[in-house]
Amino acid sequence: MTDNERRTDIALAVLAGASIVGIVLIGRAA
Amino acid sequence: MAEVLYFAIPAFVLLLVLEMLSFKYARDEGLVGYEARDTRTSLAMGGGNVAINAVWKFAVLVAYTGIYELSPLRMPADQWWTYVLLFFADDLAYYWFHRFHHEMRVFWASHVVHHSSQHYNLSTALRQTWTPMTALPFWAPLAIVGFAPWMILLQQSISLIYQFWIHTERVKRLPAPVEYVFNTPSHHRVHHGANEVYLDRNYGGILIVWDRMFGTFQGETERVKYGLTKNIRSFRPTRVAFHEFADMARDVRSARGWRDKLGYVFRGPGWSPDGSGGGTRG
Repeated sequence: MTDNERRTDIALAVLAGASIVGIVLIGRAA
Repeated sequence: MAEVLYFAIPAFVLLLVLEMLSFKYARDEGLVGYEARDTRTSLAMGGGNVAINAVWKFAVLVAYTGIYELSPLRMPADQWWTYVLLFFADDLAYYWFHRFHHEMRVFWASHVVHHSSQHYNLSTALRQTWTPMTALPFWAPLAIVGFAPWMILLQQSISLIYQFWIHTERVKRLPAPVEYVFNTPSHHRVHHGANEVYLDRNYGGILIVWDRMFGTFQGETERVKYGLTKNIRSFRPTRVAFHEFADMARDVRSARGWRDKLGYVFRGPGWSPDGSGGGTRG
């Protein structure tokens, strides 16, 4: 795995995590 | 990189002329249409915005490049799904940029320009702020997660180009699935309404689903009264560009104590210490 691929994997994990947190927060507020 | 928005300007002008002619030859008494002084001001604001952004975009590019270089995260430019994620990330950033620019006065002072017309036509789309500096923080998260600065600026321009055509009374309603997902002329007419029920609604850029998710959606249920709750009654570009900053400064000067002074800057445009309301809303 190249350095850039590793950095992309982390970025995708961050986006996935942020999406899950967002969906949970919206669900709680609804 | 050339600004793609510049390439859209001839199409903007052509469509604007066509819409103007449509009001001349296919008049609809129920619609507001065009007025020469209003259109002139909108075009002046648009021209000023393009001139200011020609310089300001360099500062934006420098800022986002700095953030991007410091970030350990990267989104690959050679993968198609990067651009799918970019589309959604940009549109979400736009929603929050737009919402803050309506719900916090210091941001509203910049964005009020776009709502200062009492008309709603394609020239209104060009009535843009002369203080675009307030937008910078809202797209910084995209640079943090690794979208290259050129991608961010490109998608911002694509979004603005999309939003041009929705500034019209000529398109009534589109098929229900389109109205459910996308920001349409009907949804955006609501956004430009000064009617009580329409205030602070429909902030979406390309997608309207953000408003449905975050509870700010409002359908077009009554005739829209375009403009601000307190219209400025001026066609002078400098007044249109800076009037709310001047009013905000006056309110801050007259406020007693830091809490009230900060309230006039960071609370909603209609806020005042005694609850009597102040400023403009739209």
